[in-house]
Amino acid sequence: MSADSGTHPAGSGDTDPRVPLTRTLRFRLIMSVALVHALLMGVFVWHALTTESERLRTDTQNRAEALSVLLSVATTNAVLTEDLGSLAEVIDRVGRHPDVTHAQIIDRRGFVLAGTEAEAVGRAVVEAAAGASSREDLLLRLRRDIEVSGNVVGEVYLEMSMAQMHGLLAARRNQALIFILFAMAIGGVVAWLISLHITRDLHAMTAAASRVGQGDLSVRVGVNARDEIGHLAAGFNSMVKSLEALSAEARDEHAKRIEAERLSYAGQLAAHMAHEIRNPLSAVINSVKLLERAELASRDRSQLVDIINGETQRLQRILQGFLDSARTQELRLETADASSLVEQVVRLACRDSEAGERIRVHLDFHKRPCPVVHDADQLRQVIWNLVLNAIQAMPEGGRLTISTDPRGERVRFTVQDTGEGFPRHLLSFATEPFYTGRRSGIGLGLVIVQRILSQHGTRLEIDSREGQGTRMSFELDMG
Amino acid sequence: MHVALHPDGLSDALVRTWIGFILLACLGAVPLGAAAGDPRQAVEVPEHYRLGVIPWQSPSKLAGMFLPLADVLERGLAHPVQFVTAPGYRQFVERVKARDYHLVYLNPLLYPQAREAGYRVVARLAGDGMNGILVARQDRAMPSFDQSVRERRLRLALPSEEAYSARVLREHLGTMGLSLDDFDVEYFGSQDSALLAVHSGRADISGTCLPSLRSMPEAVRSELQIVEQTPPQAAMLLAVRDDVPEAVSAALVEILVELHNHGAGQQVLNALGFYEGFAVASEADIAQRSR
Repeated sequence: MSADSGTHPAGSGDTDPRVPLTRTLRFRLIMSVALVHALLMGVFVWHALTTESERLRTDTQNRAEALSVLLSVATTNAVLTEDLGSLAEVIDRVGRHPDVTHAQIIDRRGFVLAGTEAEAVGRAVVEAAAGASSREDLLLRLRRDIEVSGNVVGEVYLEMSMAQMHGLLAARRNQALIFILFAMAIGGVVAWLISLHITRDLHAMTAAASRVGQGDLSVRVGVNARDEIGHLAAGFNSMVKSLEALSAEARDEHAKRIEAERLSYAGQLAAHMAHEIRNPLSAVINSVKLLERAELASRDRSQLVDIINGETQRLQRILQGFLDSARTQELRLETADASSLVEQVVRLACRDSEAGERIRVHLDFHKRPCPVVHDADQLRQVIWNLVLNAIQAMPEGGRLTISTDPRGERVRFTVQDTGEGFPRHLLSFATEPFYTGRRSGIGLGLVIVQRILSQHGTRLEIDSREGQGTRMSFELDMG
Repeated sequence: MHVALHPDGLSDALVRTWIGFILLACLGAVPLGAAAGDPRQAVEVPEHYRLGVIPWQSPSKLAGMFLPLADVLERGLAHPVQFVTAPGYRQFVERVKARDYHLVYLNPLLYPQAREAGYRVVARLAGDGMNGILVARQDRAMPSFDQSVRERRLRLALPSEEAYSARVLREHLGTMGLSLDDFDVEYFGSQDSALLAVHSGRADISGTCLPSLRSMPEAVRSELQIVEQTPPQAAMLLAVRDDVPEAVSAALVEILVELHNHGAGQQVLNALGFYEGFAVASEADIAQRSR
């Protein structure tokens, strides 16, 4: 299964680097199979070893029993006759048995008539204290009476080593461990192959989903199997197909809505323009009509000419501002520290403004340079407008604070004043064209700021409290 | 007595005594030291009275016969009694000479050697004494023991050259003008083996004694017949070693003599095949019967 369009590699089979290894489906599947293998093999091996151990123990016990019975029967006459030569010969042959570590023939008095340890012959014996030997657990001790007609005439004592049995069991245990490891390895490989098959399809779907998330609704995944993954792939394709259809509908609806909004906006803008230019134009028209009167005094005529000049200049500013707000310039981005640019603009604005002398400027730049990606001319325009707005908001003077603050991969610029602040009901219209709280303003400064910031991939944030001041902020990508 | 003094004033006898003590102490320490590392240590155990029985039957059969008697003696004497026999007549004699047994059951022929080793007779089998017999299979013709034996070369099975029955039969054959050289003699180690040799056909006749034939299984005994019988011989004896206390010896005799007077004792006698029990015996009795 693979995504059948687009340029993203899909179904590569590699673990998604964003998912920790221990959380991957492949890892969990391999671990599950390996653990199940280990558990099942462990139980099986434990059972087999226990059975084998029991069988070997029983075999050894039976052999020892058989040997002791044989020994007691074979030595009965020799015990009765105290035929030490025969007994020594029998014991010698028994002692050659690899498992026999100790053997004795004891008469009714408790004297050793023959034994694998020659120094014990002719002496009486007593039991050793329990645990006297460090090899206690490796020894099987047997004693059997030598009986004639129900009368005990002697005793056979046998010590057989279980070391061979323990060695055999240890070998079996080691073999079993190797089997377990082998089974785990085989299981792991099989699990890896299965997980490769499953996760390859899942990876293809993940890649396709990622591309869907990026807006590419033309992507499809191949349906290679009839299992759950196949059904999922088919469902995915069906879902994307539906999304594509819905997206096309939404696009059409959006275009229609944008067109309607554009027309509405143009209407509103025209209305605003008409409203804005109607008053100065009316003043100009009226003044021109009055200038036609011959009886007009020269002082009044001069006043009318001043009015005409003032209103036409206002009309020119309105038109220039409108053109500036509407014009979109191509950005010439660069990466540089903007502190000096900001400082330069602030000084210039304060110097050119009448109220600038009453403003206390505080520059709070970050200690280290903060290079940001920006168009210097456009950023200068943004800072200029924001600072000018702030100065104009403090006609009686106040404190103007400009700061830069790195935040992750961005740098936050803030222009804060202690001026009048926005009335709450006007705050939401602050960036709308021709909304202004000042009589001399034309309401296009923040519109231009918003347009430039939008080109930089950011937006203006306004926090204002009436009577306390306004804080305007925006963020730029760090270079 | 001459006493030699050492320079330091100690006598030789005193020095030897001290050296003896030291050596004994060292010898005593060796087994103890060895025992420390040996799981089965050597210690002193109460002495058993060893009842040695002449090997006239197979060891197992003798055990079956004499173990009940040993048990009765053990209870009666309140002292452990161990039944033992020997691999052969020669070894038995050697052991008797070595004073290896406390009590000995033996035939009159061996008694002189036993007496020389320090044994003294205290009891004998009651009755007229032992009869030596020659046995053949019933399905064979009764052999005649005349001069024709030499031509027929009968195969004669005997327990041992030293066996009482063999000795008795040899003497009996002598009275008939025959000797063992007139037969093809083969020794089978015990009375039973000799009888079984005849039963199985490996021998034509067997020389044994009446109690041995009686002790054979019925299936064997019923197919055998006595073809010749000696006059009664001196009875088997029971002698005690001279270091056995007199009281024990007396108690032993009393137990043996009283066996046929109670049920349990009768069972012991039945096991032995000595239905007439035991009688008190003395050196004088033995001398008189030998004559």
